[in-house]
Amino acid sequence: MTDEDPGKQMLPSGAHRLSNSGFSNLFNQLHAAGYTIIGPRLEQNAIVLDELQSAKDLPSGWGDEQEASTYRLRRRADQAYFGHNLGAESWKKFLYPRRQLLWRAQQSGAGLEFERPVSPPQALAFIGVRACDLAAIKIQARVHQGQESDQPLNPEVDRSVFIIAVNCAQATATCFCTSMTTGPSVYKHGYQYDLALTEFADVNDHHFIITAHTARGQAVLKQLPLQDADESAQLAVTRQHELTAQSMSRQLDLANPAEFFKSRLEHPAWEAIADRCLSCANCTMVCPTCFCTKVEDTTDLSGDHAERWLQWDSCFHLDFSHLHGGSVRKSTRSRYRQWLTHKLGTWHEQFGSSGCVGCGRCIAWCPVGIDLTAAVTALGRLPNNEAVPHEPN
Amino acid sequence: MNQIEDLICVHPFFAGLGQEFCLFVARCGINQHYAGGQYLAHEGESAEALFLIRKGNIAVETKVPERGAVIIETLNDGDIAGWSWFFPPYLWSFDLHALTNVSVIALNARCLRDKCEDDPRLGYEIAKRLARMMTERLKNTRLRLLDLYKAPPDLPHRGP
Amino acid sequence: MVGLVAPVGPNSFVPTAYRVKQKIRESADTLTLAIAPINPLAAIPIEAGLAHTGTSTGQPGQFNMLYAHGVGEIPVSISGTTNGGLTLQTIRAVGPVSRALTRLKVGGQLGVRGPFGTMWPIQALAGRSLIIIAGGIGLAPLRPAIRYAIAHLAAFTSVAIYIGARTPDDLIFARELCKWSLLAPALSIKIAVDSWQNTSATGALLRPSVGMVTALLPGRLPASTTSALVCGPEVMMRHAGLDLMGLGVSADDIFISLERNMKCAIGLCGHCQLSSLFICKDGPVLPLTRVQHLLRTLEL
Repeated sequence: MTDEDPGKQMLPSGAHRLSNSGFSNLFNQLHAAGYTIIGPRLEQNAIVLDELQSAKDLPSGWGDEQEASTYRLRRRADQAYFGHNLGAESWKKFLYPRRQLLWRAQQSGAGLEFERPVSPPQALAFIGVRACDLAAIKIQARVHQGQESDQPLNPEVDRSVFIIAVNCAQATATCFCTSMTTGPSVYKHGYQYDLALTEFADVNDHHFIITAHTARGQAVLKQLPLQDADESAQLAVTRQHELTAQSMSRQLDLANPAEFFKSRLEHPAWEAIADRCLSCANCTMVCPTCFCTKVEDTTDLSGDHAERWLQWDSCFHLDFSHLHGGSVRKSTRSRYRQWLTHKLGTWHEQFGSSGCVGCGRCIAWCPVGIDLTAAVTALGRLPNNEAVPHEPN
Repeated sequence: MNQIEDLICVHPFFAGLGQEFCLFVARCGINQHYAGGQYLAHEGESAEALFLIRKGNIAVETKVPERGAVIIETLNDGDIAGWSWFFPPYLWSFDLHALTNVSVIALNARCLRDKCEDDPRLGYEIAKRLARMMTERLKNTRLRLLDLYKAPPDLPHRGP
Repeated sequence: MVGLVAPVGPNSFVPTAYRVKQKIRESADTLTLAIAPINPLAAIPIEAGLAHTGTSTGQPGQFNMLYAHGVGEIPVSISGTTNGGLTLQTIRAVGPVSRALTRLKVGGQLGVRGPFGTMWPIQALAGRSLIIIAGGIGLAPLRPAIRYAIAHLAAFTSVAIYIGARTPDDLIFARELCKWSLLAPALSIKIAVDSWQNTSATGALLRPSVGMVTALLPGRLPASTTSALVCGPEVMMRHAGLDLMGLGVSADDIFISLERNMKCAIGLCGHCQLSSLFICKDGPVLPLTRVQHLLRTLEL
């Protein structure tokens, strides 16, 4: 690595080296500060996000292989904690939970009364947040807060979520964060987090390079047994980043996203995709930026007590667009079109960025292996499936 | 006669026709007044006139068993009534029933048809205007057939 | 071009309890509820920063989310307000929630969230020749704009109203329509029904034409100084737009009101999207230029 370009220097100043045991200590420090730690763990042959008591709960030594409609764990030669990529779950599970009680209503002699349940905010710490998921958290915050706020997180959770970001040491076949310019480095895109880790797990040597980015992150860092990080750390982090980035084979080629879809709403490629799509809604459930919700109004048997629950919903459901005597989007084709044109196209007009972070979860978890990068390629072709003729410069 | 050609020229159906044609056509026309309730035409009878409605409301009507006289369309100031005069067998398809006092220019059908044959330029102008009016009425009839204001069917589904 | 922005108001997830003060039957399946908050002065205490007052009565074109206890919630256009602080909501009973709302008795209670959405830009159209085209239940969201125009007739160069309905019996606000027709010639009002059923006296009194409402438009109008507000079934609005543009009116000067499935009404649940637009907050009132190409694509 002889490139001296300052832009190539991944690691910010103030980095330290953290041993494996020091990393375990991080959990103690976070618990001492009152945080509940959420991170990846191994459950039923998959990586899920759940509460962790210690570093032992992490899926050490486990990696994964992912492709369209394929997810498989594999044993690694080393004991890396973060040697896997993304599981089906994303951090929206905790930031915007699947089911929330909005209010209770009571009908009595006195009339109709509404009350919103108050719950004490939880102090959560997320460990192992990848660059693409940092992008997704930022995007969802923008969706929920609108333009008025620059805060990176849901305000109800914002004040308490402590984020420990992790650089990906490997990509899997479904990753395309480089196309979406969201990763793989957590250092490059103006993300907000408290601590950032880069893991180096050899059979002989297992250590981390750690940086702090907030006052409270710094406060936790100071409690850990740290060593200095020298020049070689910079080189190692940069090299790991480059290897990860270069290993990504999938690409999304979408030069002019807002305009691209406007002229292709009736393209024959939609029909071909719809033939395969089951409208099972997996993609929307695993997508870290999908935000659609529905409300469920329930009553008890007496009819006096009612509750309204906010729940995740999906634009793939037939009654999502129900109006009058039917749904606006009856066909699977129209619902897939809605999801893709929104995620990659109209999201720009609504929120000022793409809705896709290149995490690849939708590709892995689609039971029939629909790949949105391939869908875009198909839509980019002329309606008779010829490639668009290449314009000479 | 001068009066008739001026009335023809200002009627929207003949807008842009030119003084020369208005004069030519005026020879077929007379000014008529009908009281509210009177009929200008009956279904099945010989269609003897094209009516230019100057003022008043005319109902295009048909008699339906158990429903009585049903209004299919209401024609107002500036409309024309009648296209059956232009096509054989030249018989009215519907009744024309004055809903209010009505002032019309009645253009004699045979006179008008002869003039159209004599001067194809006039024939073309009239055919264009008739065609346009008919496509408008057909478009509106099709939209009414969609029954857009009807309450939607109450289909079972989850949610309101 | 007039810009439309939904005014910032009390938006939250929790309804305010309202009482039904009056019920007015408009037609066989439609009635109007006149409602008022039970406690107009108290804010419902919930989490700090989310206090909800729900007392704003809403601007022309806006809607409230009405909750029928234990059944559900639907968007309903505000069809008027009274001097006494009542909000008028005209509801067509077509589903379980709307039916439950129309079955409320006077004194019965419902939950209200709102007002939401963009407004008819009626105040910005002073000096213009105003055309209002209402089809069926579309007259309900237009009524506040019509009432405003009538209260400020001198501010407009002209005001012409065109109302369409299925049959004379389906005309809503019939009594008010009669009153409006007495304002001629300052106010021009023309009514057309799809078909004539000789049943009601009111129907006969209003002397509707039989035909498409858009066939009532004049053959000529001062296009460059004309603005139009249109509300009704989507097909009707599309064709009204075509007819107005055929007369020279710019699509920028034609405003329509759209409907989509709404749950949150504040642009978060995603249900009401039409392309990049959230109908609950970028609409429901929108200039035709923004939507006409979208309305022609099926299942968008």
